[in-house]
Amino acid sequence: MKNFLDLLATEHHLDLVINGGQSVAGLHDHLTFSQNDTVTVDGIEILPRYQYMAAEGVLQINQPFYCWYHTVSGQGWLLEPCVS
Amino acid sequence: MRIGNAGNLEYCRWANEQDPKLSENIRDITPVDFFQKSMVPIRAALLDGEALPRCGECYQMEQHHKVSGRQKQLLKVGVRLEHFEKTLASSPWVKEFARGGTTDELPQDWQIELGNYCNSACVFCLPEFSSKLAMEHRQLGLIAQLPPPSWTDDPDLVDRFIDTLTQSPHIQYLHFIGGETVITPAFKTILSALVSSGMNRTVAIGFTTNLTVWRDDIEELLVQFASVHLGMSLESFDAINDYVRWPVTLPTMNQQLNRWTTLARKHNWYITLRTTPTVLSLSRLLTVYDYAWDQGISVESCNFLNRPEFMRPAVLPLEYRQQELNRMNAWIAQHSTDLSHSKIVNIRDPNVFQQQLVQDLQSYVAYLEAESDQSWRWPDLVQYLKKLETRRGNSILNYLPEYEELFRSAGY
Repeated sequence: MKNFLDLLATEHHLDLVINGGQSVAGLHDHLTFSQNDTVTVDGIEILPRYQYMAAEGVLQINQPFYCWYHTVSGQGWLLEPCVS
Repeated sequence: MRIGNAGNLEYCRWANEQDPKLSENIRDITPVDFFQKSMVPIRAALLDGEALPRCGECYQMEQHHKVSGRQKQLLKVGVRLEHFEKTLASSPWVKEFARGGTTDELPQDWQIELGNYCNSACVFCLPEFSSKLAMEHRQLGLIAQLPPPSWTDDPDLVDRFIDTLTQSPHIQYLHFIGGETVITPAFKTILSALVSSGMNRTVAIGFTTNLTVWRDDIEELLVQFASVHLGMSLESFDAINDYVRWPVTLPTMNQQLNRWTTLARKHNWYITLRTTPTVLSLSRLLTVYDYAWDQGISVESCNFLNRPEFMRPAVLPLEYRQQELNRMNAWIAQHSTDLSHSKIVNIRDPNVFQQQLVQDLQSYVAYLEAESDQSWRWPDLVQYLKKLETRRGNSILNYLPEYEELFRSAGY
C-alpha cells in the first residue's frame, strides 16, 4: 500500500483457522464460532481465549472483527465520527 | 489537537516543537476553523503516505520500540501498526478518511497547554514551560526577554476556547499541562466551566502535576469528573530529584505523591508517574520503576528528550552508558512478566502495568544501545549547570559523585 486510495482499492480478508482448518472471511463480515472451537483470526487467538464471552454455546462477533477485537483486548477508547 | 502556551494551534499533541510564530494562533483563527480547514493539507499528506517532518520524534520513539504518540492516537481510531492495512480499513473513520482530509467533525481529543506559570525550575525545562526558570534565565543573561504571555492570560481567549469545548458534545479526552496546572488560574476556570455545562459527566480529563502543591478548590472540581487521568512528575526517588526538579525536595515530593495517590485511588482515577529521563537522572531512574512495580502504577514519558540537547540521555559517554545498560537489563531480568502478547500500545491499561513497565524500560535500553555518543555536548552541560548553581547554591557533584571525573574533564 502506498496511500489511502491504494488501501481502498485493495480487497482485504480475514484468515481464519478453526480447529486446524483454514478459511477466509470478509474484513467486515460478522463471525460466529462454537465456543468449543479453537480459533485464530489473522494469527490472533480468539478461542479459547475469549470463550467467556460466548452465550448459549456460541461466540458471536456482530461488528467488524478489528473493532470488536479493539474492545475485547483492552485497547481503550475507540472514537467514532459524530457528524457524518 | 493541541493549543500551545502561546495560543498556537497544532495538528497533534506530539508534533515536534516549532517556533509558535510559525503556527496559526487562537488570536487569529477559531479552533474549529483550524481543525476543519487549516488541517486539511496535513490530513491529505498523511493519507497520501507522507512522513511529515514534524512527526520525527514519534518515528524516533518507534525506532527504539517506545510507544509513540502517533501509535497512541492511531489506536484511538482503531488503527494499529500491526495489521495496519486491515485495521485502517476496519476503522469507524474509514469513510471520513476517504474525504481526502476534509471534515465537518469537531475535535474529540485535546492537549491544552495552559502557559508557563510554574513554581518549579527543573534543570531540563525551558523558559517557555516554566516562569520560574524564565526569570532565572533572564537574571543569568541566558535570555534577553521573557517568553510572550500565555493565551490563558487573556480572559476573552479562555472564554472563546471554553465555548469551543462546550459546543463540541463528543469530546472524549482533555489533557492539561502547564507550567504547573494546579496553580494556573485557567485550569480552574476551564474545569469550572466543564462542570457547569455538565461535560464533567462524559469527558475524561488528564493533567500533570509537579508534586509541589495542593489546592482544595481544585480537588473539589476534579472529584466531580467521571474519569480523571493523573500524571505525577518525578525523576527519581534518589536525592538527584532535588537537583533535577529544583527546588522541590524529596520529603515534599513524597508527601504530595502520597496525598495525590490516596485521592486518586479513592476516586478510581488512572494514575501514572511521568518522567523526563536526562543524562543527569538516568543512573537513578530505576528507583522510579521499583516504586511503580510495587505500587501497581505505570511510568510514562512523552518522548526521548531532545531539548536542551546537552541534557539528552545520549550525552552520557559510552563507557558510563554501559553501566546503566547493565543495570537496566538486570532489572528487566529480575522482573519477569508475561511478554508473550503483542506490543502494548494502550499503555494506560492498568491490567498490564507490569508488562508496560518492562516494555518502557526496554525502550531506554534500545535507545542507549542505538543512539550515537553525544558526549561532545558535555562541556555545554557543565557550562549551563555552573551558571544555574551560582544562583541555586548547589553542586551536581554532591548528587552524582561517580561522574566527578567526567564533570571535571569538561570544565567543572
